[in-house]
Amino acid sequence: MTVTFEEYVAARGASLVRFARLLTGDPHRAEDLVQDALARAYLRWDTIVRVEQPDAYLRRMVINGSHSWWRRRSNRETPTDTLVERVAPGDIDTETAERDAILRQIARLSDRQRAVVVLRYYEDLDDATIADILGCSAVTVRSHALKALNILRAQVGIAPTTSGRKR
Amino acid sequence: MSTAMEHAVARALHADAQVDVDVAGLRTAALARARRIRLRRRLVGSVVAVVALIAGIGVAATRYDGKPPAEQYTAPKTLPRLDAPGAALAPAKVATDPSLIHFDVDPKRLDATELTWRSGPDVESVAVRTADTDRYTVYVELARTRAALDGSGWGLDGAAPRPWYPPRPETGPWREQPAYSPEQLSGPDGYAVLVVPGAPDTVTRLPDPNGGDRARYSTTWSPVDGLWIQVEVASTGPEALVNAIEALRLDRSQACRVPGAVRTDLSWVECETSLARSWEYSTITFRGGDGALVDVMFGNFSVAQPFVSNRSIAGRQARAFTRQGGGPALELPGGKGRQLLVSDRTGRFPEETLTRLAEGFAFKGDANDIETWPARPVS
Repeated sequence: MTVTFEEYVAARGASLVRFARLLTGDPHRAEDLVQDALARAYLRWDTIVRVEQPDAYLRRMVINGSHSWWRRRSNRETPTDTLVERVAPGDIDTETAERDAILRQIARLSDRQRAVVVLRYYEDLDDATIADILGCSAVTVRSHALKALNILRAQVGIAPTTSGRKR
Repeated sequence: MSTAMEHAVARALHADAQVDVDVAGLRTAALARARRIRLRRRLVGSVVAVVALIAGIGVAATRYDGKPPAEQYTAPKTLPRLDAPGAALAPAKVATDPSLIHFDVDPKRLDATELTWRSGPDVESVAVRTADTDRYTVYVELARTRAALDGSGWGLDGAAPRPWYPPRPETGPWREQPAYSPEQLSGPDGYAVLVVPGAPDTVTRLPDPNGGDRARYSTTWSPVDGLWIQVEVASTGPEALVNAIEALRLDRSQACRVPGAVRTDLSWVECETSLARSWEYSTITFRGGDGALVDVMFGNFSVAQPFVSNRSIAGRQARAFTRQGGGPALELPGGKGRQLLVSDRTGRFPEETLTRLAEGFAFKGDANDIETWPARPVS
Protein backbone atom coordinates (compact mmCIF):
# COMPACT_ATOMS: atom_id res chain seq x y z
CA MET A 1 0.00 0.00 0.00
CA THR A 2 1.37 3.43 -0.92
CA VAL A 3 1.66 6.01 1.81
CA THR A 4 0.07 9.35 0.98
CA PHE A 5 1.82 12.67 1.59
CA GLU A 6 -0.61 13.53 4.39
CA GLU A 7 -0.08 10.17 6.07
CA TYR A 8 3.66 10.56 5.85
CA VAL A 9 3.65 14.02 7.39
CA ALA A 10 1.35 12.88 10.18
CA ALA A 11 3.59 9.93 10.97
CA ARG A 12 7.04 11.38 10.38
CA GLY A 13 6.73 15.17 10.32
CA ALA A 14 7.62 15.66 13.97
CA SER A 15 10.62 13.38 13.66
CA LEU A 16 11.85 15.35 10.65
CA VAL A 17 11.60 18.65 12.50
CA ARG A 18 13.50 17.24 15.50
CA PHE A 19 16.13 15.88 13.15
CA ALA A 20 16.50 19.29 11.48
CA ARG A 21 16.71 21.01 14.88
CA LEU A 22 19.64 18.84 15.84
CA LEU A 23 21.34 19.51 12.53
CA THR A 24 20.97 23.27 12.62
CA GLY A 25 20.69 24.02 16.33
CA ASP A 26 18.05 26.57 15.35
CA PRO A 27 14.34 25.71 15.78
CA HIS A 28 13.13 28.35 13.33
CA ARG A 29 15.61 27.38 10.67
CA ALA A 30 14.73 23.72 11.23
CA GLU A 31 11.03 24.34 10.71
CA ASP A 32 11.78 26.34 7.59
CA LEU A 33 14.04 23.62 6.18
CA VAL A 34 11.49 20.88 6.77
CA GLN A 35 8.64 22.93 5.30
CA ASP A 36 10.72 23.52 2.20
CA ALA A 37 11.76 19.87 1.90
CA LEU A 38 8.18 18.67 2.34
CA ALA A 39 6.86 21.22 -0.16
CA ARG A 40 9.32 20.10 -2.82
CA ALA A 41 8.66 16.46 -2.02
CA TYR A 42 4.90 17.02 -2.30
CA LEU A 43 5.33 18.19 -5.90
CA ARG A 44 6.84 14.82 -6.89
CA TRP A 45 5.43 12.58 -4.21
CA ASP A 46 4.32 9.83 -6.59
CA THR A 47 7.86 9.41 -7.87
CA ILE A 48 9.40 9.53 -4.42
CA VAL A 49 7.24 6.78 -2.98
CA ARG A 50 7.66 4.70 -6.10
CA VAL A 51 11.46 4.79 -6.40
CA GLU A 52 12.78 5.89 -3.03
CA GLN A 53 12.31 5.56 0.69
CA PRO A 54 10.59 8.85 1.60
CA ASP A 55 12.44 8.95 4.92
CA ALA A 56 15.85 8.77 3.28
CA TYR A 57 14.82 11.22 0.56
CA LEU A 58 13.48 13.81 3.00
CA ARG A 59 16.49 13.57 5.27
CA ARG A 60 18.78 14.04 2.29
CA MET A 61 16.82 17.15 1.28
CA VAL A 62 17.00 18.56 4.79
CA ILE A 63 20.75 17.92 4.96
CA ASN A 64 21.31 19.49 1.56
CA GLY A 65 19.19 22.46 2.49
CA SER A 66 21.07 23.00 5.70
CA HIS A 67 24.45 22.86 3.99
CA SER A 68 24.69 26.56 3.21
CA TRP A 69 23.34 27.34 6.65
CA TRP A 70 26.18 25.38 8.26
CA ARG A 71 28.70 27.13 6.11
CA ARG A 72 27.42 30.58 7.03
CA ARG A 73 27.27 29.73 10.67
CA SER A 74 30.69 28.11 10.78
CA ASN A 75 32.13 31.33 9.42
CA ARG A 76 30.94 33.11 12.52
CA GLU A 77 32.23 30.61 15.02
CA THR A 78 35.81 30.52 16.17
CA PRO A 79 37.19 27.11 17.05
CA THR A 80 39.09 26.91 20.29
CA ASP A 81 41.76 24.58 21.55
CA THR A 82 40.89 25.30 25.16
CA LEU A 83 39.14 22.44 26.91
CA VAL A 84 36.54 24.56 28.62
CA GLU A 85 33.77 22.00 28.38
CA ARG A 86 35.33 19.26 30.50
CA VAL A 87 32.96 17.97 33.16
CA ALA A 88 33.12 15.34 35.86
CA PRO A 89 30.70 12.41 36.17
CA GLY A 90 28.18 12.70 38.96
CA ASP A 91 24.84 14.27 39.83
CA ILE A 92 22.00 15.59 37.69
CA ASP A 93 23.46 19.09 37.40
CA THR A 94 26.68 17.63 36.16
CA GLU A 95 24.83 15.48 33.65
CA THR A 96 22.95 18.52 32.38
CA ALA A 97 26.19 20.42 32.06
CA GLU A 98 27.74 17.47 30.26
CA ARG A 99 24.80 17.28 27.89
CA ASP A 100 24.96 20.99 27.12
CA ALA A 101 28.68 20.75 26.59
CA ILE A 102 28.22 17.87 24.15
CA LEU A 103 25.55 19.74 22.22
CA ARG A 104 27.76 22.81 21.97
CA GLN A 105 30.60 20.71 20.64
CA ILE A 106 28.34 18.89 18.18
CA ALA A 107 27.35 22.30 16.84
CA ARG A 108 31.04 22.98 16.19
CA LEU A 109 31.66 19.79 14.20
CA SER A 110 32.03 19.97 10.44
CA ASP A 111 28.75 19.69 8.55
CA ARG A 112 29.39 16.10 7.46
CA GLN A 113 30.52 15.01 10.89
CA ARG A 114 27.45 16.59 12.50
CA ALA A 115 25.13 14.90 10.00
CA VAL A 116 26.72 11.52 10.68
CA VAL A 117 26.49 12.00 14.44
CA VAL A 118 22.82 12.96 14.31
CA LEU A 119 21.88 10.18 11.90
CA ARG A 120 23.82 7.61 13.91
CA TYR A 121 23.04 8.53 17.51
CA TYR A 122 19.67 10.23 17.23
CA GLU A 123 18.09 8.48 14.24
CA ASP A 124 19.96 5.27 15.14
CA LEU A 125 20.53 4.43 11.48
CA ASP A 126 23.15 1.95 10.36
CA ASP A 127 26.16 3.11 8.40
CA ALA A 128 24.88 1.77 5.08
CA THR A 129 21.67 3.79 5.36
CA ILE A 130 23.59 6.89 6.44
CA ALA A 131 25.92 6.41 3.48
CA ASP A 132 22.92 6.25 1.16
CA ILE A 133 21.47 9.45 2.58
CA LEU A 134 24.77 11.34 2.44
CA GLY A 135 25.81 9.93 -0.92
CA CYS A 136 29.10 8.50 0.32
CA SER A 137 30.51 5.13 1.33
CA ALA A 138 29.96 3.40 4.64
CA VAL A 139 33.71 3.64 5.21
CA THR A 140 33.48 7.42 4.93
CA VAL A 141 30.59 7.41 7.39
CA ARG A 142 32.67 5.45 9.88
CA SER A 143 35.59 7.79 9.35
CA HIS A 144 33.42 10.88 10.02
CA ALA A 145 31.94 9.23 13.10
CA LEU A 146 35.33 8.30 14.48
CA LYS A 147 36.73 11.78 13.95
CA ALA A 148 33.65 13.37 15.47
CA LEU A 149 33.80 11.15 18.53
CA ASN A 150 37.50 11.86 18.97
CA ILE A 151 36.83 15.60 18.82
CA LEU A 152 33.95 15.35 21.27
CA ARG A 153 35.97 13.13 23.57
CA ALA A 154 38.86 15.58 23.54
CA GLN A 155 36.67 18.61 24.08
CA VAL A 156 34.16 17.24 26.56
CA GLY A 157 36.49 14.85 28.28
CA ILE A 158 34.54 11.63 28.60
CA ALA A 159 36.92 8.71 28.79
CA PRO A 160 36.80 6.14 26.02
CA THR A 161 36.00 2.52 26.72
CA THR A 162 37.91 -0.32 25.19
CA SER A 163 35.24 -1.75 22.90
CA GLY A 164 34.38 -0.30 19.51
CA ARG A 165 31.03 0.14 17.87
CA LYS A 166 30.34 -2.48 15.25
CA ARG A 167 27.92 -2.00 12.42
CA MET B 1 26.37 1.29 21.20
CA SER B 2 29.52 0.67 23.05
CA THR B 3 31.43 3.63 24.39
CA ALA B 4 30.66 6.08 27.13
CA MET B 5 31.04 8.90 24.64
CA GLU B 6 28.53 7.35 22.27
CA HIS B 7 26.05 6.87 25.11
CA ALA B 8 26.53 10.46 26.20
CA VAL B 9 26.04 11.77 22.64
CA ALA B 10 22.86 9.75 22.16
CA ARG B 11 21.47 10.92 25.53
CA ALA B 12 22.25 14.55 24.73
CA LEU B 13 20.67 14.39 21.29
CA HIS B 14 17.51 12.66 22.48
CA ALA B 15 17.10 15.04 25.39
CA ASP B 16 17.55 18.07 23.17
CA ALA B 17 15.06 16.77 20.61
CA GLN B 18 12.20 16.40 23.08
CA VAL B 19 10.08 19.22 21.75
CA ASP B 20 6.47 19.36 20.70
CA VAL B 21 5.89 19.79 16.99
CA ASP B 22 2.71 21.17 15.44
CA VAL B 23 2.34 18.53 12.74
CA ALA B 24 -0.94 19.90 11.37
CA GLY B 25 0.62 23.35 11.07
CA LEU B 26 3.66 21.82 9.40
CA ARG B 27 1.52 20.08 6.79
CA THR B 28 -0.50 23.22 6.08
CA ALA B 29 2.64 25.34 5.72
CA ALA B 30 4.32 22.76 3.46
CA LEU B 31 1.31 22.52 1.17
CA ALA B 32 1.06 26.31 0.95
CA ARG B 33 4.73 26.51 0.08
CA ALA B 34 4.31 23.77 -2.54
CA ARG B 35 1.56 25.84 -4.19
CA ARG B 36 3.83 28.90 -4.23
CA ILE B 37 6.70 26.89 -5.77
CA ARG B 38 4.40 25.53 -8.45
CA LEU B 39 3.04 28.98 -9.21
CA ARG B 40 6.55 30.43 -9.37
CA ARG B 41 7.65 27.72 -11.81
CA ARG B 42 4.71 28.48 -14.05
CA LEU B 43 5.46 32.20 -13.91
CA VAL B 44 9.12 31.63 -14.75
CA GLY B 45 8.08 29.47 -17.68
CA SER B 46 5.76 32.20 -18.91
CA VAL B 47 8.42 34.89 -18.53
CA VAL B 48 10.95 32.79 -20.42
CA ALA B 49 8.44 32.30 -23.21
CA VAL B 50 7.71 36.04 -23.37
CA VAL B 51 11.41 36.93 -23.35
CA ALA B 52 12.03 34.40 -26.10
CA LEU B 53 9.19 35.91 -28.09
CA ILE B 54 10.52 39.44 -27.61
CA ALA B 55 14.02 38.30 -28.51
CA GLY B 56 12.66 36.67 -31.63
CA ILE B 57 10.89 39.86 -32.60
CA GLY B 58 14.09 41.81 -31.98
CA VAL B 59 16.11 39.51 -34.19
CA ALA B 60 13.49 39.65 -36.89
CA ALA B 61 13.44 43.46 -36.73
CA THR B 62 17.21 43.62 -37.00
CA ARG B 63 17.14 41.45 -40.06
CA TYR B 64 14.44 43.61 -41.53
CA ASP B 65 16.82 46.59 -41.20
CA GLY B 66 19.22 44.79 -43.44
CA LYS B 67 21.88 44.67 -40.74
CA PRO B 68 23.48 41.35 -39.86
CA PRO B 69 22.13 39.93 -36.62
CA ALA B 70 24.50 39.97 -33.69
CA GLU B 71 26.23 36.62 -33.33
CA GLN B 72 24.51 34.67 -30.61
CA TYR B 73 26.21 32.18 -28.40
CA THR B 74 25.16 28.59 -28.99
CA ALA B 75 26.11 26.23 -26.22
CA PRO B 76 27.45 22.76 -26.93
CA LYS B 77 25.10 19.86 -26.50
CA THR B 78 24.64 18.75 -22.92
CA LEU B 79 24.76 15.34 -21.33
CA PRO B 80 21.65 14.01 -19.59
CA ARG B 81 21.30 15.54 -16.12
CA LEU B 82 20.91 13.03 -13.28
CA ASP B 83 18.96 13.38 -10.08
CA ALA B 84 21.98 12.36 -8.03
CA PRO B 85 24.25 14.36 -5.74
CA GLY B 86 27.19 16.18 -7.28
CA ALA B 87 30.81 15.98 -6.20
CA ALA B 88 30.37 18.46 -3.36
CA LEU B 89 27.86 16.24 -1.59
CA ALA B 90 29.13 12.88 -2.78
CA PRO B 91 32.91 13.16 -3.11
CA ALA B 92 33.36 9.44 -2.46
CA LYS B 93 31.49 8.68 -5.68
CA VAL B 94 33.76 10.72 -7.93
CA ALA B 95 35.51 8.60 -10.56
CA THR B 96 33.97 5.34 -9.35
CA ASP B 97 31.56 4.70 -12.23
CA PRO B 98 32.41 5.48 -15.86
CA SER B 99 28.76 6.16 -16.62
CA LEU B 100 28.63 9.10 -14.19
CA ILE B 101 30.12 12.58 -14.05
CA HIS B 102 29.67 14.37 -10.75
CA PHE B 103 30.06 17.98 -11.85
CA ASP B 104 29.15 20.40 -14.58
CA VAL B 105 30.37 23.71 -16.00
CA ASP B 106 28.58 26.76 -17.29
CA PRO B 107 29.47 26.67 -21.00
CA LYS B 108 28.30 30.20 -21.68
CA ARG B 109 30.51 31.65 -18.98
CA LEU B 110 33.48 29.86 -20.55
CA ASP B 111 32.42 30.77 -24.09
CA ALA B 112 32.76 27.06 -24.75
CA THR B 113 32.34 25.63 -28.22
CA GLU B 114 33.14 22.04 -27.34
CA LEU B 115 33.21 20.09 -24.08
CA THR B 116 35.07 16.81 -23.84
CA TRP B 117 33.86 14.95 -20.77
CA ARG B 118 35.68 11.99 -19.29
CA SER B 119 34.98 9.67 -16.40
CA GLY B 120 37.75 7.23 -15.62
CA PRO B 121 38.79 4.99 -12.74
CA ASP B 122 40.60 7.76 -10.85
CA VAL B 123 39.65 11.08 -12.38
CA GLU B 124 36.65 12.84 -13.88
CA SER B 125 37.44 15.72 -16.19
CA VAL B 126 36.29 18.14 -18.82
CA ALA B 127 38.40 19.79 -21.49
CA VAL B 128 36.86 22.96 -22.86
CA ARG B 129 37.45 24.29 -26.33
CA THR B 130 36.73 27.99 -26.41
CA ALA B 131 35.63 30.32 -29.17
CA ASP B 132 38.54 32.77 -28.86
CA THR B 133 41.22 30.35 -30.05
CA ASP B 134 39.26 27.28 -31.20
CA ARG B 135 41.62 25.27 -28.98
CA TYR B 136 41.25 23.58 -25.64
CA THR B 137 41.97 26.36 -23.18
CA VAL B 138 40.32 25.14 -19.97
CA TYR B 139 40.91 21.81 -18.29
CA VAL B 140 39.21 20.67 -15.08
CA GLU B 141 39.91 17.47 -13.18
CA LEU B 142 38.17 16.05 -10.12
CA ALA B 143 39.50 13.18 -8.03
CA ARG B 144 39.10 11.72 -4.60
CA THR B 145 42.79 12.15 -3.80
CA ARG B 146 45.50 14.62 -4.61
CA ALA B 147 47.70 11.74 -5.76
CA ALA B 148 45.14 10.79 -8.42
CA LEU B 149 45.25 14.33 -9.81
CA ASP B 150 49.02 14.46 -9.77
CA GLY B 151 49.27 11.07 -11.42
CA SER B 152 46.67 11.51 -14.11
CA GLY B 153 49.19 12.75 -16.64
CA TRP B 154 46.57 14.78 -18.42
CA GLY B 155 46.47 18.46 -19.12
CA LEU B 156 46.09 21.11 -21.72
CA ASP B 157 49.36 20.63 -23.51
CA GLY B 158 49.50 17.04 -24.54
CA ALA B 159 51.28 16.02 -21.35
CA ALA B 160 49.14 12.92 -21.45
CA PRO B 161 50.93 9.70 -22.38
CA ARG B 162 48.83 9.58 -25.52
CA PRO B 163 47.73 12.23 -28.03
CA TRP B 164 44.30 12.22 -26.65
CA TYR B 165 42.63 15.23 -28.11
CA PRO B 166 42.09 14.31 -31.70
CA PRO B 167 42.81 17.07 -34.16
CA ARG B 168 39.87 18.71 -35.80
CA PRO B 169 38.86 16.78 -38.89
CA GLU B 170 40.34 19.39 -41.18
CA THR B 171 43.76 19.41 -39.52
CA GLY B 172 44.97 16.11 -40.80
CA PRO B 173 46.02 12.83 -39.26
CA TRP B 174 46.95 12.22 -35.67
CA ARG B 175 50.23 13.52 -34.49
CA GLU B 176 52.02 13.30 -31.22
CA GLN B 177 52.35 16.45 -29.21
CA PRO B 178 55.94 17.19 -28.23
CA ALA B 179 56.71 16.31 -24.63
CA TYR B 180 56.20 19.30 -22.39
CA SER B 181 57.99 19.54 -19.07
CA PRO B 182 56.65 22.68 -17.48
CA GLU B 183 59.09 24.77 -15.56
CA GLN B 184 57.42 25.90 -12.41
CA LEU B 185 58.44 29.45 -11.85
CA SER B 186 59.18 30.74 -8.41
CA GLY B 187 59.03 34.18 -6.93
CA PRO B 188 56.65 36.99 -7.75
CA ASP B 189 56.77 36.34 -11.48
CA GLY B 190 55.76 32.73 -11.07
CA TYR B 191 52.62 33.20 -9.09
CA ALA B 192 49.50 35.18 -9.41
CA VAL B 193 47.55 35.79 -6.25
CA LEU B 194 43.84 35.54 -6.78
CA VAL B 195 40.89 35.66 -4.50
CA VAL B 196 38.41 32.98 -5.43
CA PRO B 197 35.67 32.06 -2.99
CA GLY B 198 36.22 28.51 -1.81
CA ALA B 199 39.45 28.09 -3.73
CA PRO B 200 43.10 28.60 -2.80
CA ASP B 201 44.67 31.96 -3.43
CA THR B 202 47.93 30.75 -4.94
CA VAL B 203 48.07 29.98 -8.60
CA THR B 204 50.94 28.51 -10.55
CA ARG B 205 51.85 30.23 -13.77
CA LEU B 206 53.81 28.33 -16.39
CA PRO B 207 55.17 29.72 -19.64
CA ASP B 208 53.31 29.09 -22.87
CA PRO B 209 54.87 25.84 -24.16
CA ASN B 210 54.38 27.10 -27.69
CA GLY B 211 56.31 30.28 -27.04
CA GLY B 212 53.21 32.45 -27.25
CA ASP B 213 51.60 34.74 -24.74
CA ARG B 214 49.11 32.23 -23.36
CA ALA B 215 50.62 31.13 -20.08
CA ARG B 216 49.23 28.14 -18.22
CA TYR B 217 47.56 29.14 -14.98
CA SER B 218 46.60 26.31 -12.71
CA THR B 219 45.51 25.68 -9.18
CA THR B 220 44.62 22.66 -7.07
CA TRP B 221 42.45 22.61 -3.98
CA SER B 222 40.16 20.49 -1.88
CA PRO B 223 36.76 22.14 -1.43
CA VAL B 224 35.36 19.37 0.79
CA ASP B 225 36.86 16.35 2.51
CA GLY B 226 37.65 13.63 -0.02
CA LEU B 227 37.46 15.80 -3.13
CA TRP B 228 40.32 17.41 -5.03
CA ILE B 229 40.01 19.71 -7.99
CA GLN B 230 42.55 20.99 -10.45
CA VAL B 231 41.76 23.72 -12.92
CA GLU B 232 44.15 24.77 -15.65
CA VAL B 233 43.65 27.47 -18.25
CA ALA B 234 45.69 28.77 -21.17
CA SER B 235 45.29 32.50 -21.14
CA THR B 236 46.97 35.86 -21.33
CA GLY B 237 45.96 36.58 -17.75
CA PRO B 238 44.95 34.85 -14.53
CA GLU B 239 41.40 36.20 -14.66
CA ALA B 240 40.48 33.30 -16.93
CA LEU B 241 41.28 30.91 -14.09
CA VAL B 242 38.93 32.73 -11.74
CA ASN B 243 36.28 32.60 -14.42
CA ALA B 244 36.81 28.87 -14.96
CA ILE B 245 36.56 28.15 -11.25
CA GLU B 246 33.41 30.19 -10.97
CA ALA B 247 31.94 28.32 -13.93
CA LEU B 248 32.26 25.02 -12.05
CA ARG B 249 29.11 23.40 -10.72
CA LEU B 250 29.77 20.77 -8.09
CA ASP B 251 26.11 20.29 -7.21
CA ARG B 252 25.15 18.46 -10.38
CA SER B 253 25.59 15.01 -11.82
CA GLN B 254 25.45 13.94 -15.44
CA ALA B 255 25.43 10.68 -17.35
CA CYS B 256 28.44 9.99 -19.56
CA ARG B 257 26.78 8.62 -22.66
CA VAL B 258 28.11 7.57 -26.05
CA PRO B 259 26.20 6.70 -29.23
CA GLY B 260 27.67 3.24 -29.56
CA ALA B 261 28.22 -0.05 -27.79
CA VAL B 262 30.64 -2.94 -27.89
CA ARG B 263 29.96 -6.60 -27.43
CA THR B 264 32.75 -7.74 -25.11
CA ASP B 265 33.57 -9.52 -21.87
CA LEU B 266 36.20 -6.95 -20.93
CA SER B 267 35.45 -4.54 -18.09
CA TRP B 268 34.32 -1.07 -19.10
CA VAL B 269 36.39 1.40 -17.07
CA GLU B 270 36.35 4.75 -18.81
CA CYS B 271 33.98 6.93 -20.79
CA GLU B 272 34.88 9.95 -22.87
CA THR B 273 32.51 11.92 -25.03
CA SER B 274 32.98 15.17 -26.85
CA LEU B 275 30.08 17.49 -27.55
CA ALA B 276 30.09 20.64 -29.65
CA ARG B 277 26.95 21.89 -31.39
CA SER B 278 26.73 18.27 -32.40
CA TRP B 279 28.37 15.15 -31.12
CA GLU B 280 32.05 15.00 -32.08
CA TYR B 281 33.46 11.69 -30.89
CA SER B 282 33.48 9.24 -27.99
CA THR B 283 35.88 6.76 -26.50
CA ILE B 284 35.07 3.79 -24.32
CA THR B 285 37.96 2.10 -22.59
CA PHE B 286 38.13 -1.49 -21.42
CA ARG B 287 40.43 -3.23 -19.01
CA GLY B 288 41.71 -6.75 -19.45
CA GLY B 289 42.36 -9.20 -16.65
CA ASP B 290 45.97 -8.12 -16.30
CA GLY B 291 45.13 -4.42 -16.12
CA ALA B 292 45.89 -3.73 -19.78
CA LEU B 293 43.74 -0.99 -21.34
CA VAL B 294 42.24 -0.75 -24.81
CA ASP B 295 40.35 2.22 -26.24
CA VAL B 296 37.49 2.07 -28.71
CA MET B 297 37.15 5.52 -30.23
CA PHE B 298 34.50 6.45 -32.74
CA GLY B 299 33.01 9.49 -34.37
CA ASN B 300 34.44 12.54 -36.03
CA PHE B 301 38.23 12.37 -36.31
CA SER B 302 40.88 11.80 -38.91
CA VAL B 303 42.37 8.60 -40.13
CA ALA B 304 45.63 8.29 -42.03
CA GLN B 305 45.61 9.80 -45.51
CA PRO B 306 45.97 8.23 -47.94
CA PHE B 307 44.33 5.28 -46.26
CA VAL B 308 45.94 1.98 -47.17
CA SER B 309 43.94 -0.98 -46.01
CA ASN B 310 45.84 -4.05 -44.83
CA ARG B 311 42.94 -5.92 -43.19
CA SER B 312 39.28 -6.66 -43.67
CA ILE B 313 37.20 -6.68 -40.50
CA ALA B 314 33.51 -7.52 -40.63
CA GLY B 315 33.52 -6.69 -44.31
CA ARG B 316 35.07 -3.25 -43.74
CA GLN B 317 38.44 -2.01 -44.86
CA ALA B 318 40.80 -1.72 -41.93
CA ARG B 319 44.39 -0.79 -41.24
CA ALA B 320 46.51 -2.34 -38.54
CA PHE B 321 49.38 -0.13 -37.44
CA THR B 322 51.44 0.79 -34.41
CA ARG B 323 50.67 4.18 -32.96
CA GLN B 324 53.62 6.48 -32.68
CA GLY B 325 54.81 6.12 -29.12
CA GLY B 326 51.97 3.72 -28.35
CA GLY B 327 50.69 0.23 -28.89
CA PRO B 328 49.05 -1.52 -31.81
CA ALA B 329 45.84 -0.09 -33.27
CA LEU B 330 43.19 -0.80 -35.85
CA GLU B 331 41.46 1.96 -37.73
CA LEU B 332 38.33 1.51 -39.82
CA PRO B 333 37.28 4.53 -41.85
CA GLY B 334 33.58 5.12 -42.10
CA GLY B 335 33.18 8.71 -43.25
CA LYS B 336 32.17 11.76 -41.28
CA GLY B 337 31.17 10.84 -37.77
CA ARG B 338 31.56 7.12 -38.46
CA GLN B 339 35.31 6.56 -38.04
CA LEU B 340 36.42 3.80 -35.70
CA LEU B 341 39.77 3.35 -33.97
CA VAL B 342 40.58 0.48 -31.63
CA SER B 343 43.81 1.28 -29.85
CA ASP B 344 45.78 -0.79 -27.35
CA ARG B 345 46.90 1.77 -24.78
CA THR B 346 49.28 -0.53 -22.96
CA GLY B 347 50.47 -2.70 -25.84
CA ARG B 348 49.58 -5.97 -24.13
CA PHE B 349 46.55 -7.23 -26.04
CA PRO B 350 46.88 -9.62 -28.98
CA GLU B 351 45.60 -8.27 -32.28
CA GLU B 352 42.70 -10.70 -32.21
CA THR B 353 41.31 -8.89 -29.14
CA LEU B 354 41.38 -5.61 -31.03
CA THR B 355 39.75 -7.30 -34.00
CA ARG B 356 36.97 -8.74 -31.83
CA LEU B 357 36.30 -5.32 -30.34
CA ALA B 358 36.10 -3.78 -33.81
CA GLU B 359 33.77 -6.55 -34.95
CA GLY B 360 31.65 -6.18 -31.83
CA PHE B 361 31.23 -2.42 -32.08
CA ALA B 362 28.01 -0.87 -33.37
CA PHE B 363 26.69 2.69 -33.46
CA LYS B 364 23.57 2.98 -31.32
CA GLY B 365 20.82 5.57 -31.36
CA ASP B 366 20.65 8.86 -33.22
CA ALA B 367 23.97 10.70 -33.00
CA ASN B 368 22.06 13.99 -32.82
CA ASP B 369 19.77 12.92 -29.99
CA ILE B 370 21.55 12.02 -26.77
CA GLU B 371 18.33 10.75 -25.25
CA THR B 372 18.46 7.82 -27.68
CA TRP B 373 21.99 6.79 -26.67
CA PRO B 374 22.35 3.64 -24.56
CA ALA B 375 22.78 3.99 -20.79
CA ARG B 376 25.79 1.69 -20.93
CA PRO B 377 27.96 1.10 -23.99
CA VAL B 378 28.44 -2.60 -23.42
CA SER B 379 26.18 -5.19 -24.94
